[in-house]
Parts: sequence; structure tokens; C-alpha cells
Amino acid sequence: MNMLLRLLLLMAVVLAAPASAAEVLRRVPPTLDPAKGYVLVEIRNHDAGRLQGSIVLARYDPAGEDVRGGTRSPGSALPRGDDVRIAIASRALERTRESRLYLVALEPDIWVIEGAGGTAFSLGSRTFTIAAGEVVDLGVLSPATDWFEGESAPRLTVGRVATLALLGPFARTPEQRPAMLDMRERGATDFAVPAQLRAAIIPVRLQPGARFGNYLGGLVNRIDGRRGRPDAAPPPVPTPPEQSEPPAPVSPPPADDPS
Amino acid sequence: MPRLFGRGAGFVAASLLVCGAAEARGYYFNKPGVSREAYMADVGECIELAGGVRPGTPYVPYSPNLIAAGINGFFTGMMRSRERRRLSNMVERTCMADKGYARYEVSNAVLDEIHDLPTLEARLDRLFGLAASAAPIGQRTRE
Repeated sequence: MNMLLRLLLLMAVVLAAPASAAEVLRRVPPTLDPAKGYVLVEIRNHDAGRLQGSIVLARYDPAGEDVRGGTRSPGSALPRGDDVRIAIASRALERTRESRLYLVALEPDIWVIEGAGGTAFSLGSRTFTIAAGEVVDLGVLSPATDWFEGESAPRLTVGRVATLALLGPFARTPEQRPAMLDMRERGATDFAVPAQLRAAIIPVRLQPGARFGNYLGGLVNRIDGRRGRPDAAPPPVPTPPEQSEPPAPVSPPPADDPS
Repeated sequence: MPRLFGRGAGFVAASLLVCGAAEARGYYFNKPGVSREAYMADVGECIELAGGVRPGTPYVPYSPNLIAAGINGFFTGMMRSRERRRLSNMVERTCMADKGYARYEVSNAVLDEIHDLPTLEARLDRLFGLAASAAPIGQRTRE
């Protein structure tokens, strides 16, 4: 009996644990929690195709220049039970074949758009601050593949399908390409802001230049892709490609080499 | 801010970049005039990002046969390692291109020449010479 009581007590403690930092809401609540911030966001399909788009938001530490509790910012870790990130990929308020509208309840904090389509925007993303009781419109986000110059999605030919069927996981597959995110304000052709939120909603104020570690386990990129790179980025590869050079002796270090 | 790696760690990182090509040839990153400190910091940050790669586990059908399970495990591990290398390479290449480095493929002879240098310092100097050279050798290739 004593054991059963202990078990029930333990379950009560677990259930009474603080709610996670963020939650995607299936419907607009009748009354908004004044202790939370809310984000309204429309996410279009990946590459404007059939694959549903998704993004990941994470709590950000601007002083440590990393996601809270990350390797560059261990001192900003959240208490146990609080989620540092949330994936927005299901529980849409409204949906069409091409797009979905989400309402997310967040803890008041600085949040960063950490990734989309399996890519972490570690090389440069945007943050926004959300205060308690605020409802912020993040706009319309369109995840897309950041192809190399002159590259496009490989065509699924009969030969490729046959190779995949015969060789399975041993078949040679094309290299993955990172994703990027196209962001714009909500327009007349997009989902309308739900009536309950119209009075309170404000446009988001985004801050560029957020960098952080790769915690999503996949590729990395800038949120704007290659077009968002600084001027220091290398020029595109000349076309047609240069001819192969024969192996040449390795050049010595330049004269002004500090070493 | 990117962590500055130690000299030894920086060399290991740089060596990985040169020898880590998935294909028969190796490659290196070049940015004319880059300082040694900046190069090490850039490589260190890109290696750190590549270290975050976690490939998914491929599906393996269950088998009660111990030998079949062992063979499955062997091939699954092989495929997972291959995927991790591919993703890591891609992360390094994207990261270095983002920092303004161009990628050049070189023949194995050049790589062997670097590896055959007698001391770590000499190898590091030669490698940095390639990275900072205004007249890079090899074939310019896309990131």
C-alpha cells in the first residue's frame, strides 16, 4: 500500500512538473495566457512542392552566441523540464495543400529560427524577442533547397528507380544540399490572422546575425542561403569548368606569412 | 565566437580537410592573404559544426539468426559511417565557402608530398602556404 502511495505521489509530481517552454496550439485559446508569448506563422511546403515545410525555433543566448545551454554557452542552460527548442511541423490551425498556419505559445525570451528542412542555420540566422502577453506575426516562411549555381533537383528517371530498387541502400545517391528559408510579411493571398488575435497581433522585429552550434544533426547554412553570404564569399566557379592541371609542386608559404 | 584551436588540434583539423575528400582526390581551401590565426579559427569553427552531424540509423529487418544479425549490423554500421562522412564533408565545405574560401582539388601526389614532410611544423607551414596562396594550385571546384 505504501508502495502504491509512493508511486501515485511520484506520478503526481511528474504530472505537475512545469509545462514545456513551448507548445504548438491546435486552436486559438479563448483567453491567452498572460505569462506566455504567442507566435503566428505560416509555413509553406518545401520547395513549393508536396513535402510539408517545417521549422525549428530555439531559445537563444546573445551573450554566449549560442542556443541556450549549447557548447558555447553552457551557463545559460534552462532548468530541467524546460524545452530549449520546438519543432513546428504539426498541429496546424489551418491548412491547404501548399501551406499551413500555426500558433505557438512560447516562454518570453529571445528566440532564434534554428533550422528548417533538416538544416541548422548555424552560419547566420535571425532572432526575435517575445514578451509575456505579446502576439507576434512571424509572417510567411518558405523553406527551399539551396542549390548550387546552375543546379536543380535531380530527376527521378526509370534508371534511377531501378538502381535504387536493385541496390537499395548501397545505391549511389546524390549529395544532400542544405535548406534555406525565404521570409516575407503576410499578404492578402495568405492565411488571414484569426479574428481572436487581430487586435493584439504585432509584426515581428527580427535581428540578423545569430550564430550557434549545429544541434540538429544535419547540414548547416545561412537562413538566406548563399545569397546571404558576406562579400568575402568566393566567386562562383567559372563555367565552363577549368581544365585539370597536372600535379604541380606545392607553393611555399607567402613571404608575409606571420609564421 | 569560434573557439581557437591549439596548434596540434588545428593541424589535425586542417589535415582532415585535406584528406577527407570522399573521392580519389584530395582538396584544400584557399583564401588569398588569409592570416594564420583567422584560418585556424575558421577551420576550428567548421570542424565544430561538422562534429554536430548525427546521421539517422538505417532500417534493418530483424533476424533471430545470430550470423545474419551480425552481418546486418556490419553493413548498417558501414552505411552509417559513410553517411556521417558525407554530411561532415558537406558541412565543412558549406562552412568554409561561407567564410570566403574557395575549394581546390589536388592530386594524391601533392597530398603525399605534404604527408611526407619530416616535421609537423613543416607540414603545417606547407598547408598554410596552400591555404593563403595568391596563386593556388589544382582545379577550382565548387563548394
